[in-house]
Amino acid sequence: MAVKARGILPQRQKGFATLRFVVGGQLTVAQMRKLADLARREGKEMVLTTMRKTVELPWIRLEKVPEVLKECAGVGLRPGSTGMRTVKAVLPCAATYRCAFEATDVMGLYDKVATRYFGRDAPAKFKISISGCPNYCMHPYLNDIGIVGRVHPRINLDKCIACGQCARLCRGEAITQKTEAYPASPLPTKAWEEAMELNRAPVFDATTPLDAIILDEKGLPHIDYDKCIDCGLCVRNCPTDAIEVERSGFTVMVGGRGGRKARFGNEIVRIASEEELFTILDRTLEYHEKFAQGRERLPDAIERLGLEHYKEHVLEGLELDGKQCSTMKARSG
Amino acid sequence: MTKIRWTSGILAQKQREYTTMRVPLSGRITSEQMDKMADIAERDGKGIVLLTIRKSIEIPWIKYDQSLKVQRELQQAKLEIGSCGRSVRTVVRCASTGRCPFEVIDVEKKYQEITDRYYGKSTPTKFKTSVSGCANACANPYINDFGIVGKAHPRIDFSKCDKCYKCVEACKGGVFATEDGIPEVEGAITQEAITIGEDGMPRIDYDKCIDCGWCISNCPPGALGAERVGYGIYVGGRGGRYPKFAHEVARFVSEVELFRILEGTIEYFRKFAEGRERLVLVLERLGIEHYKEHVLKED
Ligand code: SF4
Ligand code: SF4
Ligand code: SF4
Ligand code: SF4
Ligand code: SF4
Ligand code: SF4
Repeated sequence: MAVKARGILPQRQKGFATLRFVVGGQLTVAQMRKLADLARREGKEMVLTTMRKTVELPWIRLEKVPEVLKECAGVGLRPGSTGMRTVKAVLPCAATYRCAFEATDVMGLYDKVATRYFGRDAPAKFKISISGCPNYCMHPYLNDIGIVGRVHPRINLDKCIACGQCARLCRGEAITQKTEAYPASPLPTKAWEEAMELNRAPVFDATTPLDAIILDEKGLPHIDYDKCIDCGLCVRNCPTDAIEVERSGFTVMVGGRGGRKARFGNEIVRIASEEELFTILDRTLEYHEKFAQGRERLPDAIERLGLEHYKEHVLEGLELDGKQCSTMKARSG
Repeated sequence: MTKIRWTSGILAQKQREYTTMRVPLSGRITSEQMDKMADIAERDGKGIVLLTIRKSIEIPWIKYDQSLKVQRELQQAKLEIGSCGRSVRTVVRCASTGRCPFEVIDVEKKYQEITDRYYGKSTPTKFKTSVSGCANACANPYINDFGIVGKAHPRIDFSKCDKCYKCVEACKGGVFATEDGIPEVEGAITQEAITIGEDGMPRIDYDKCIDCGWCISNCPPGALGAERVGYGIYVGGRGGRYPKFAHEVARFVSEVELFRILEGTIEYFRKFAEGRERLVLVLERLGIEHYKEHVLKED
């Protein structure tokens, strides 16, 4: 029996293993029922979820493992990589399904990244996370590679009706200001209204006031690009589409890690295109392969060799500067 | 009459007519809860649930006029929604749950105690805590308002030591096979705090040792034991858009101390936060010494 296969974690209790599945942060009803059923039959009636959004089925007897894995495969549960030295489960934020801040198609990108890299061998574990916007919900700076969706805005004053919405949003008043955020309730009780009032806060609290949009004396908006974080919130909420996307893509952060030796990663590119993003990912894995000493993790290798060394090898020939917006170039320079 | 607690836990979606129900479970779901949530997701949602980085489950796509009903149904199945807004959020626990080979404290018990005492208590703004079962710190204590890390201080009883040097390997991050010869556990640490002395006995360099307890679990004759078990405490970290690592405010304290410091920290936060300021900002404004004076000083 090949117990060393992927997705099988040893427990401290002899004879038992925990099975890990990579699900990209979501479970279908069929998967849930299967897990519940298996936990009841073969485990201890419990299922675990992890900070990398995988699910685990603990307390499975070793001899039952192949059988259980087979049943799980039937509902599309893919065993997770527990190989110590591989690309770990790619961590996507929950954006696609509901988040008002999402600046990029998170699950679309997740599928591509996971298909291409998940489980690939590396000198040490290698973690990738994807956040849909600069709210950084998936801690891009604590991953070997953190990817963040960005949208760089530009205002076309010809279309602007000076409604002030964009400035309000950027001030962090966000959608709470848009009273039409909820349609008239068919249950127009006071309790409901209070609830909505209360419940509005958590989601939209996510924005911190940036105040990057200044209204001039005519009420026309101007973006202060020193303050703008390219979240794209103003773009998506302008009633006349006066705010256009000058450039959109992905910020890449490199060399972060969580846990005991936590270290923040560095932002190496502000807005890369999807193609550039994949080039950077490919080359970063090659870099790790080539320069790691023994089982060294990427952050340690970068610390030893210096960020410039990494950049020289990975960003070479990418002409990212030329493709950055002029405003962004000014800022980084 | 049952009063519906509208505290929080119903999140607005960008699709205006839908909400997402957040069920804080901190990473552990019973079969019964799983089935219940599956039923709800199938009937009232879109047949999926989401996992969050703080180990809650979210059921998205609930029509907002069904939210009340769904909340009630979840409550009946002992699934409280919540963990939003200005309160002590779900306590994140590492995945140890009694089965991680590295665990040195009872993570479940600590999680329960802290949850029973503090979860949902109001604070100036969100207050995040996490519990890690050992110095590997998988639950990222450094980016929580209050991070707890279990520690075990090792000591060698030389009369029992048979010089196998497994502890030396363990502290180097050596790889172990369980007795069945399968599957492998790799020691996560590479401290190299144990060396072999001239007398052939292993010696612990306590300046290097991080009290992870891994050597203790790997000593076949039990010559290595935990002199004491306790907690490291990290305060004032945060993730999100402006991340900052926490301050280590205690390296090794007892359980009683842990709760005193937690209580003190929440009080401190309530007293000194201006408006909806996060703890990290309070500490930046007033300085960590100010915090230490108010919270750590014995009366
Ligand atoms: S706020 Fe941004 S990072 Fe967070 S879930 Fe929404 S899109 Fe993802
Ligand atoms: S750019 Fe759009 S949102 Fe901003 S003031 Fe003009 S019309 Fe309103
Ligand atoms: S994209 Fe820039 S200007 Fe627009 S809301 Fe975000 S920070 Fe403000
Ligand atoms: S913190 Fe320690 S006990 Fe908890 S999961 Fe990580 S290694 Fe295991
Ligand atoms: S593992 Fe135990 S018995 Fe072996 S050398 Fe270390 S202390 Fe001695
Ligand atoms: S407890 Fe100390 S000596 Fe033992 S393995 Fe951990 S760091 Fe090494």
